[in-house]
Amino acid sequence: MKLCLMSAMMYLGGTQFAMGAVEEQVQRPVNIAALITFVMFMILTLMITTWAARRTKSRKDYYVAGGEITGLQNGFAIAGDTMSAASFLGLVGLVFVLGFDALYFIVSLVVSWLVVLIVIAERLRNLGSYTFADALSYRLSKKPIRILAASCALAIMIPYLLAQLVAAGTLVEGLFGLDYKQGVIIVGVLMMIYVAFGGMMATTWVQIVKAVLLIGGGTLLSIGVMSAFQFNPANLISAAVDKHPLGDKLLSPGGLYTDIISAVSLSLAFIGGTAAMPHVLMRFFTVSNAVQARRSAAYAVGLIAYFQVLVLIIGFGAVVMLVDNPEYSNGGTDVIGGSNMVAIHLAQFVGGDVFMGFISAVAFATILAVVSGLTLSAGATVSHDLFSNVIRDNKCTEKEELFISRITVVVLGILGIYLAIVFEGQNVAILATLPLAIGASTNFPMLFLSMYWKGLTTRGTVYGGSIGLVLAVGLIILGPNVWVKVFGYKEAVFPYAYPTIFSMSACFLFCWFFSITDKSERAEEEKAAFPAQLLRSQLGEVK
Amino acid sequence: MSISKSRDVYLRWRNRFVLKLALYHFALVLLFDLLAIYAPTVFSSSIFADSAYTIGLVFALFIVVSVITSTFYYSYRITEKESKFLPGVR
Repeated sequence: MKLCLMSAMMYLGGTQFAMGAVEEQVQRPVNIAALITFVMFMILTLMITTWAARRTKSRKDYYVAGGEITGLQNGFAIAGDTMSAASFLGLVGLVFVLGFDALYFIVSLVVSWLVVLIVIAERLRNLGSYTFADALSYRLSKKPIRILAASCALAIMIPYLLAQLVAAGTLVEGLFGLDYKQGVIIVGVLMMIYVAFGGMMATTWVQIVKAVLLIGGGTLLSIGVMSAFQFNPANLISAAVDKHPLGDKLLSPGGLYTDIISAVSLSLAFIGGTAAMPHVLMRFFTVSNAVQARRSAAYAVGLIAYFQVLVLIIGFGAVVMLVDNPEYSNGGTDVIGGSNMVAIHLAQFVGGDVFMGFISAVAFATILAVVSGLTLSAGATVSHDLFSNVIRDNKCTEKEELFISRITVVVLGILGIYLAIVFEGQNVAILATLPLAIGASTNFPMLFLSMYWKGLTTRGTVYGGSIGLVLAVGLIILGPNVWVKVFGYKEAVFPYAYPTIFSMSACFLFCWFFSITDKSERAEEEKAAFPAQLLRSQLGEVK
Repeated sequence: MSISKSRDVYLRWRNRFVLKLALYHFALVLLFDLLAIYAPTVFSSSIFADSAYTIGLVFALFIVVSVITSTFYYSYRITEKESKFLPGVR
């Protein structure tokens, strides 16, 4: 069960960190190198925010950086969004403890980005302006679709945001020797400043800086590991197998899942969920056209795949260098501070306190950058989708819409800080599983069908999406991560950690069923509008 | 070839290309999951005698490499076809 939870937390990484901290808290003295690196990151990003705030004048500037981001820059920003503390701390810990089974995550994560590139990116860019609901409601009825899309987006982003804030507090406590509340407040306040003043321009550049630091730090750590094995991966793997308590089983499947439903559900959650994260989808509107959107997705795939390979090297390196090392381990793979500390310990082993401080600060900066993207996207969902298009029927001014967006950011920030403090020491498992499962069970099927299937109607989307949402949330609550771990029942009502194979299929099925049985006049109009949408989605605005 | 006909040819080709690429990678992931669950001994056997690399590890790395290769091949082919079939549109 612990391993299942660990996997569930992986994507949201920091959350798992929080969970680990509940079990075993490590208070460290203040690491000067970490503090200096983080303060430098903070100063640089605040300078970026000041620069971005001067350039942010219109709604387009605020939501999508005026569409001025290049493909390469956007590729780094997207990669940064994906490489959360999770992909680093969480996944390295998973390789360290489980070995082979971490490959489920690595493979699914990389493939998910190919799906984004070839299936979603360009069509989304051609159909939308600011949020994915723009594309979803292109030929469907605006109000019900935007309400549903906004509900799903907020159901993904709020738990995700909260999970990251909880992680930030725990990370600060464990690494910098500061108080949990201080960590949450630092991240929450900085996030509000970046987003409220600098909008997407600041958020994007903060993400780019962080991605460069994370990839650079990961590369240095991997070089440090590989140099001990004459840069021969076979030597590294053999040494890891010899050292790990699992022995040969380190490279065998079966430590995490033993049934096909769990394995496929996990893959679907990662593939569909990653391709449906609202804050990531929003990034495709920051580039000038679909060609740049394609380039950004291609760069992101390359960077993410490269980073996953680094994670494998770091994980196996940690096995050799940390297992049974009394300085870092209580014996075997029981690492001091929990498995999320593996990358940090390894950094200390390879490069001493200074390098460990650098990696710790990068991990903290990672959380900060991700929460900024999430908050901006949540603000846009409330102001653009709900306030402007639903409540005011698209009749409000840009100034009003931006005001609402900034107010939302501040409210979300304060609420997030408050809830993260309330959640201190609590089991936040549900916060980690929800976003991916909801994304894969609602946004992905709806977006996919709206772009590729002529027969989809508003009625089908509303029923299918709502059923997918209810099933995803309901089955997670009834599943082992919440029913057993949070509520304390002996056995889960629903036996699988991820319900995606059921909830995603249900969303597709009910979207189809309620669309084909929709004989209304509006349904006919929506079907008739598909060819024009198809052309636009593939070619953009053709004169 | 007229512009609209040229455009239709391009779009048909592109849809088939995307479908093949997507199905191929979905099949790879599904095969990976199936073999990991139903044939763990196959996945944990060495690829050659005395090799440190197991079939499962090599398969996973193959998927990662396949994704990277497909990404760049996709970008290259789409750009090439667009310049051929859609001059002036992009």
